[in-house]
Amino acid sequence: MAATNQGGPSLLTRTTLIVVAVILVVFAFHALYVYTSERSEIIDDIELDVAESLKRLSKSLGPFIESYAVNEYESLVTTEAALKRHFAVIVEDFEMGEILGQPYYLFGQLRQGDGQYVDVQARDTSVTEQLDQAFYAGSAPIIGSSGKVLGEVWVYASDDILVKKLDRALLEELFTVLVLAGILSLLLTAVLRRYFFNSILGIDAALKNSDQEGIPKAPVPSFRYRELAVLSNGINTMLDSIKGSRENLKIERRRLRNTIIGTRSGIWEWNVQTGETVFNERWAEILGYSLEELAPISIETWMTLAHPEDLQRSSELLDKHFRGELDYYECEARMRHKNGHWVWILDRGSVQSWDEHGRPLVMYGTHQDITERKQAEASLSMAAGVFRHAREGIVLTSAGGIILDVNSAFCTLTGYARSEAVDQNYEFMLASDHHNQDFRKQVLSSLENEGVWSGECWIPCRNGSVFPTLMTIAAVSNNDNAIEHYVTLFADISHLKQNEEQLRQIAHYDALTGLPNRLLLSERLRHAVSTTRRHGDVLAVVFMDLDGFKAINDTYGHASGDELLIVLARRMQTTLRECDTVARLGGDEFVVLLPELSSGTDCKPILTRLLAALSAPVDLAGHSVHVSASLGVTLYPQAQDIDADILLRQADIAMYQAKQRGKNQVRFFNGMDGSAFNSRLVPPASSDQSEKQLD
Amino acid sequence: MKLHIRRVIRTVSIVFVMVTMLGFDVEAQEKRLAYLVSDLRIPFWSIMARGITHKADQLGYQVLVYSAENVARNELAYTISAIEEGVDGILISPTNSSAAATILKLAERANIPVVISDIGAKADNYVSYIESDNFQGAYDLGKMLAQALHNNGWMKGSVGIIAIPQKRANGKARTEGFLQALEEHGVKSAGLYQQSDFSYRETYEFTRRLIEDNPTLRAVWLQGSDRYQGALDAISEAGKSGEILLICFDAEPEFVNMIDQGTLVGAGMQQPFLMGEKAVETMHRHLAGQTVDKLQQLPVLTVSEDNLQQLLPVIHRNVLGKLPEGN
Repeated sequence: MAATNQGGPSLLTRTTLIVVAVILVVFAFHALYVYTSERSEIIDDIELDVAESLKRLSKSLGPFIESYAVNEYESLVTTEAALKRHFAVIVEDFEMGEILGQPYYLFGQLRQGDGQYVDVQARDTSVTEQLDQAFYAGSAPIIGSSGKVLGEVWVYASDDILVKKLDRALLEELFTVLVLAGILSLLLTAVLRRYFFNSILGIDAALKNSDQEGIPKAPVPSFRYRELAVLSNGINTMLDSIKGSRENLKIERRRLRNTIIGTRSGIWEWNVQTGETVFNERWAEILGYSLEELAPISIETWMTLAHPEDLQRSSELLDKHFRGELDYYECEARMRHKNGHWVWILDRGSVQSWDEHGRPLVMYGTHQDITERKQAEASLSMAAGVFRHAREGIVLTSAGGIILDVNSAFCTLTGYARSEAVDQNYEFMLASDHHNQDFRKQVLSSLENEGVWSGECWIPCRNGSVFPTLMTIAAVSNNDNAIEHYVTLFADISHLKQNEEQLRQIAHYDALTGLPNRLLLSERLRHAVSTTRRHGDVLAVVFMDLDGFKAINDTYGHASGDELLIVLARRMQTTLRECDTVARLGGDEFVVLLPELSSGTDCKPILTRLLAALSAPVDLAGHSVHVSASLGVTLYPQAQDIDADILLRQADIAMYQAKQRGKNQVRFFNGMDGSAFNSRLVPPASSDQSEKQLD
Repeated sequence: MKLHIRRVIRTVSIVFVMVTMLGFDVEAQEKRLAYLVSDLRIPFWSIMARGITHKADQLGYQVLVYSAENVARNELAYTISAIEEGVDGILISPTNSSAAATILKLAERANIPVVISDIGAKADNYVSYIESDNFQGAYDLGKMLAQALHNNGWMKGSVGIIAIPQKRANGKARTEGFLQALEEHGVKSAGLYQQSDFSYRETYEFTRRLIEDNPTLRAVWLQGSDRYQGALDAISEAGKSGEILLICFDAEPEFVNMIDQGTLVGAGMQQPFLMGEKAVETMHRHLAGQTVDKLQQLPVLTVSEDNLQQLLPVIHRNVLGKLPEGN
């Protein structure tokens, strides 16, 4: 805020003094004019008075002189002198002189210093000397009624009257001047105070009623008079402008401060010439210090804390900036943290003032802690290495499912170029034949709920093939938990799949014939029971045992026996329907499942073809051999709900009955026999044993 | 007597010197007085002159009497003459009080003391001023008239006044004294005329007007004595003789008989002879170094039929200037 000039002169006092001085000067000139005019007028008056007195006396004295009324005209002269305040009036009376024997009888009145008049009886030296001092004198003859000159009258005027009158006039004028000047000064002062200074004081009061920054809180009041209103409006406009500018400045400062705070920037100011340096608290805080701890602050502070290698680079960049080769200085440098570790700083600035020789004077700049960025950059570099060099395919997808990037492994695995994949929809990398909508929903649900999905997925290749992958999709979210993009990582598991298939084959199929083994049979039987129950049709379970196989095995060896089994397996497969299953339980025991039958009798033709196929001769190493088969059949559903194992037991029992009845025949499980059968089943193990004994 | 005096004065053109050779001693022979009088033709002044010369003789002064014959130039010229004569004192009965001032000034320049006898002066540089007590005289005269009116049963009648100029001090005093007496006695005034030329005609005319204008007029008072005949004639011609009384201030020699005969109710008689004597006596005392009163008023004799005989000796001497044989 501007300092108030309390010791300065008062405008009101100065104006009043000037007004008074002007008034006094004007009135002084007026007084001079009045004085001069008065003097001239008084002189004229004196001359006129003298002339009038002479005229009057010359006329009125005649009769008295003629009548020798000396006392009368003396009284007249005395009265005239006193009345007109003449310096002297002298009458020379020739008539009386004649009586006296002298030229004239003289009578006069002469005013003395005390204002009193004394008689003059002769023109002696003293009187003459006094009369010579008269300011003005005149004389006139006294003419008698007959025209005779009776005497002469002299009227003298002194300048003391003039002086007195002028003094009085001057005093009056002076008094008038002082009174008028006083009144005018008071009036002018009052008017100035009322209409001008009070208004100024009002403005001053309004301006003094200010906030901490010296800006008036309220606008200057408006005034009735135009000039003051213009001034008031001008000030208010200016105040509005200042307030607006101040608000803008505040906003700018706030923005700058917020920017500094928001960017967590350290601020530095460096006098290049003197080395004097100013830091803000954040500058020190970045390094784990307070400014107080770093005191005294100078450019040495920076040089001490900066990494020697970076300091060298900083100096080079500064020199380039000083030479004008760089528009601004920017350097990433390490600085020693209070805890001993290095902190990466982005040091930026520029010279804002130069001396007349083009040398830098003051430079301003910022420090930003970029340690995290540096670490992130390092991490990113590593991630980029992973992305580039991983054997797994990696796909970056936007939250909307658009492919942003793929790595080279992706290209290798799929045969697609990166450019062909980028910007494609995610569907691009799903083999539609292998994945239905449920799969997609499952994946999206998992991603949504857990942020990750992992599973097998088939990916199409550019050549139209597909291959299985073990895929992991991770949703990458930002701080607001909003999904920004997805990272899909997949590995080719074709080999694993093949190995798995092989293991599955080993586990579920008979190694000799390639027919489903007991394990797979159990699954398919349960599946067939379930399907039959659901579809309401009929399932036939056929337990089959070759007749005469042992003899062939014994005759031609196990290899021929195995070959026989292989041939018969192929015949059964070709004989049966697509939906039928034939499984080898072991040795020469087989089970056939015939689902989707309308009734139990529908299976007879099949069974007949089966018996025929099995009983047809087989060529074994040049030997035609012949076997037959005993088939036990049971149907599902039955009156009682039974499980798969019981069905197999029932078919086994029926096959056993067929063996017993003469082999090469089909035997259906009879429910009447079930009670006996059931009694055999009580100990399943004993049952199995009994079947083997039957064989 | 008036004619006699005038005749004497006429014979002496300028200066009439009366030298009383008898009875003055050597010391007195060395002193001379001048008496400047306005007009010796007027009995009053001539009687006063006689009083002066009489007393001067007694005191051993030579008196030079100058009568100006009521001419101002003469009065001044005689004044100069008297001064040039080197008189020891001047007695004046001036033509008017203004002229007296000039005489006093001229005398003062010559360092000659002046005693004024009657008329007065518009100045005060004199030794003494002697005058009649006009107020008292007029007052007494008024009382006398009131008594006469009362005696005649005319108290409801009015009194007309023919006055000398009222600008004169003696005229003013006479009017005031007379009116005061009338007022005290409940007598009304019928009006006042001022004389200007002191002529017979003037007095006659004023009297006639008073009679015509005032049916109840019972008396006329003349403040001067010399034109009484005009008043008497006017009363007579108006057929009011015996019905309108006449009363005068001052006196003429014939007043004694007129009072005695009842033509005049009364008269206020100044004593000019006595005044002249008093003037010389005063000058003498002054020259002798004695203190004198600045103003000396002499009584006016109020003479009526009642006291005429009693006052007659005084009237003869002091008023008429008739000295008994041997004096």
